[in-house]
Amino acid sequence: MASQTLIFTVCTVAQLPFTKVLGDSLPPNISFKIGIVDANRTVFDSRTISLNELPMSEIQSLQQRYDEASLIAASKPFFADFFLQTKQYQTLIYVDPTVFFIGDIGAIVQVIKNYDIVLTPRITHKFGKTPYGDEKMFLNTGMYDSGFWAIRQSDNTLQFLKWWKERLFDRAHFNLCEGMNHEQLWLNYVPIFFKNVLVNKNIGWNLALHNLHERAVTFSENEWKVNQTEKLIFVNFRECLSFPKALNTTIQASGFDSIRKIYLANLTQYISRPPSIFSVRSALFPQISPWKRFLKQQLQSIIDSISHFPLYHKITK
Amino acid sequence: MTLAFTLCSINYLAQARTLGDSLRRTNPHIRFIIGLVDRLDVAQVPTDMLPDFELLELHNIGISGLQEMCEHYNITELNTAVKPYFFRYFFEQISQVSNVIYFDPDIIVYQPLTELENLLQKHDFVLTPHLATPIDDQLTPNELHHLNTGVYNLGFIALRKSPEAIDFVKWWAEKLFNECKIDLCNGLFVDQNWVNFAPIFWNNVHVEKHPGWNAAYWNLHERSFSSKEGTHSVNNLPVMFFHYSGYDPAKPNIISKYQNRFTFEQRPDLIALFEFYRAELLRNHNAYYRQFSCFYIKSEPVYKYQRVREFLKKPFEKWLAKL
Repeated sequence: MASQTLIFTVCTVAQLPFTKVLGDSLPPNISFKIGIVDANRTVFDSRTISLNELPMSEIQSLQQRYDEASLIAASKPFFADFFLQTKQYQTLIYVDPTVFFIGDIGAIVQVIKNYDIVLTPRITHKFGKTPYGDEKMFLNTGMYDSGFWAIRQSDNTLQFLKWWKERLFDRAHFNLCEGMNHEQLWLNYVPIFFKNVLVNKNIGWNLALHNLHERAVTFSENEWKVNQTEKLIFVNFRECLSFPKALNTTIQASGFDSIRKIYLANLTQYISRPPSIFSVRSALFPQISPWKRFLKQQLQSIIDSISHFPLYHKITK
Repeated sequence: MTLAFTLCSINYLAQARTLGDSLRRTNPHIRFIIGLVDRLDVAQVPTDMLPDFELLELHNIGISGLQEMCEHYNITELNTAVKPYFFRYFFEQISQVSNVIYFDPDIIVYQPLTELENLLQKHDFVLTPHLATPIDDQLTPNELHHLNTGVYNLGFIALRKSPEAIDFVKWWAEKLFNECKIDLCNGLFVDQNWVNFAPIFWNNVHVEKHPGWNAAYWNLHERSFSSKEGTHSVNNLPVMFFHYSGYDPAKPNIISKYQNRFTFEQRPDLIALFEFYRAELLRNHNAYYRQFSCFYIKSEPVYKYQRVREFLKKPFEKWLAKL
């Protein structure tokens, strides 16, 4: 049965070291493929498949239209469609290249037996504000995490992929003001439009920087657990490779640092410095020097004053 | 006991009365209250023009910091920001209440809400999505428009008085105290976008996709209507409540000012529903109420010399963009 399940990820050639660590964390009996989006592929590995190789007419337009991060995002359902329809896999699990499996992947395979589509929410509890951000930051970036989703072969699933492909063909940019956050924000519709969707709130799935404030990790009796209740199944390190000092407390308090060190040690076997990868938090809060921040604030204040002179009108965010 | 309420300022009382009349016809057992975001004493509405429904004025529900909210918000923002505060008032102050339903004032209820009351026996929340099925074109509004404004329409929400719903209302009220703005780039769209979190932070949320619930301009593509002997149907099911958002009886040829997908010529199936609504609004003195400006809202400041301002701002904006 395991061969009917495929785990796949999508990245650039430069990001391949992540996929090596991901591959090492998978059990040997599970199929694993890596979609590569670069126009000119420079690796030859039986596990990789190039976006150019997909027999789909839209690919060239995608490559012309998008930057790297958008192209990776937009191509996911195209790869998925290829694996389901051409390669006839029964179950697909997409994970970001920066995912690392710690617990039993069988738990995911078991759940997807009963649903067509499985998603995970990025957070599961209200929290107000943390060093990562506040709740409204999730409102325009998406309720469900696009770093993991699992689907099962069915007409319903194929409809979902068709729908997603059509949207991502021209609307997979990163432009929050226009309601676009790559492929992720579109997932908000999935539990509404499609049948047999599970939103899995299990806190042992998809541990990541954005939900660390609600999850404490502990290791006892040879097992990693989250909040001492759920088994830790997998972690996405996408936003943990480098992060501002303000988040250090969150990482320390969650007991996460030890897992992060294990991951980074694994990664250094393949590359000395982690390759760059898109992070929504870094895009929203770019790390800039204090003088630049000050200058920006001053300029904005001059612009606001010109707009509203001589009346003071409360400007709020 | 089930309580239904709406929120509006005096300028929308014709809509609120029309909604109240429809509830009285179809659901006489439901107590209906108009939450008024306005001051009757200041507006001096003559007694014979007051609606024959319970009116609950905003200053009487005990919001601490109301003044601050009023300064912060425009009329749309304020009318939506106070929604959870009214829910909280009804849950806390009216002991017989077991269910509270909110309807936007521009809704007409066409059928008994038995199914909704049944759902509320099993669920803590009932919501309706803007779209129940995909919309393939890119006219206005399309799927993208609801992605930063909210996938559920907050012209309707029903809550059962339960620990989960009370917790939700408390959280929602905290959020809307100062973050009920229209600021799409920062993830804010009044009270509505916040409710995307409801099925995630809380359990027992029911999302109803029946085409007769909260039918409105944004979901016409998936709903086709018919009328027979005064009963309206949609996709061969009864229309439970129709949401006439963006309709103005003074411009009866426009389905909604917020959409460009359909005209009445393309959708003659809608004519009976809208003709009835127009007649109801006119009967309920729409033109009279429209004259009132809301007590709580100061007029938006007018900034003259826009071209000069743009010219002066340009170098600073260029510099800022380069940073």
